[in-house]
Amino acid sequence: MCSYSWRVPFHACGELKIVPSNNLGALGPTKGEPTLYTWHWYYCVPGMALWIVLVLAMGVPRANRTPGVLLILVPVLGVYVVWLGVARLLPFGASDNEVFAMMVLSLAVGTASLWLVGHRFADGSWLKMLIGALAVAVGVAFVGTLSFGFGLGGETAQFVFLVSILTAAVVLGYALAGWMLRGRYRPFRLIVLLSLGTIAVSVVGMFLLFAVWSALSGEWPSMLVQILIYLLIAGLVMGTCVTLISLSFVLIGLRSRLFRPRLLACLRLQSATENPVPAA
Amino acid sequence: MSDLGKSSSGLFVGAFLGAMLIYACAFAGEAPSEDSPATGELHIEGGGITNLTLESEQGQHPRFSAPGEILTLPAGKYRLSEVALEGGYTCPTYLMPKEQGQWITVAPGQPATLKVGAPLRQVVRVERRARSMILNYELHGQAGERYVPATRSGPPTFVVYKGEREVASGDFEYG
Repeated sequence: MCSYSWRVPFHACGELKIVPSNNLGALGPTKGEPTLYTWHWYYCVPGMALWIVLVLAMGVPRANRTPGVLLILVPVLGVYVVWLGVARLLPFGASDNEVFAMMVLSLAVGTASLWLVGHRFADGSWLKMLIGALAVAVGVAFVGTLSFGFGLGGETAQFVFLVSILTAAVVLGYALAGWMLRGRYRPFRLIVLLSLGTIAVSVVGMFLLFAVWSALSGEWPSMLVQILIYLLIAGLVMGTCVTLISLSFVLIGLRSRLFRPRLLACLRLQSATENPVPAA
Repeated sequence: MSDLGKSSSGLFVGAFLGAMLIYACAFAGEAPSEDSPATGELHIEGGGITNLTLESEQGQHPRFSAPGEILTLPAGKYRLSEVALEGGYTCPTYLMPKEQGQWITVAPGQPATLKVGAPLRQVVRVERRARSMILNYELHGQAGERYVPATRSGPPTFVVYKGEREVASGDFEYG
């Protein structure tokens, strides 16, 4: 009927009582039934589990225990700050913006986790590396969705699936770029192929999401062509956003002594100036 | 001859009317024949109803304006289709709980009951979405059916208390 989105301030955390009120005339009392709800303090920290995952990924692997690892915070915080600015311009409500914030932060931390632990799969086969990277990215997307408190319902399943597809697009974008470069590291070509690959996988992912969701629900829309056009547009828009997030890591990572060899090792690329050395 | 004719026709009409009266008295109170369908009562538990639409098993939608406490209906199965209350509040089918979508059997001599309408309960359903608390305002009727207002003027308000202290208040927004 009607609703209100209240950004709960930190000082209001605790046991809350919400009382509605409306003049119903002879139809009922003016004051409604009080609803009790406990608002925990950690609800006020958005995606706290994601930040914990990021700190663990930065600190647990020995190879990351170097000051250079802090560089990974630059794209993560940069993406988040840019999002906060963009969110002010979007015509959505606070509730919708929370969903987008969850998606953006999950994608950023998921990509950061790939850079932080992905090198551990570098010495295996392509398939092993791909499955490992997908597991890391999708796992972080799952944690991200849950940490934003959307519960375990159908809505969460949709978000997990959507964010998983977008994070998988990041992984597959790297894989496609690495495969198409055929062993030779060329920075500009890497960036172009990575962008095109990520967008292409995002578009395919949107169609896949629609097909799986329709098959599970058993309802196929009548205006199929129109829906497919919308999905194409959504895939292109989301793919572009994911690419921008991914590129922010690539641009920082390729300038880092710690992360650049990792990327080259994972993509099996040989630089003209250096040999990729997988970190331990 | 003409007098005789007049008196015999008068006798015939009188006898016919008498027979009809005896027949009517003899069968008064008995079950109606197949030509007049059996009826039953549906007791409405709830008030403030301005319009009530039912759905019969045959797919008909009998509609009642300002129905009283008792509706007399042809025997059969019915379920609630739509309700409108004073002040323009309405409850379409999709806002009814499953129980109200079940068929009610109306039979002669066995009054059935339908809970619907006022008094209404104002309820806030709370959801968490990240840092935001989503407060959903709902108006529940007698059987848990939900009502929506016809106009969007004068939205309901809310107050949030932490203990005895008021920490927030505001107007709900129509979506």
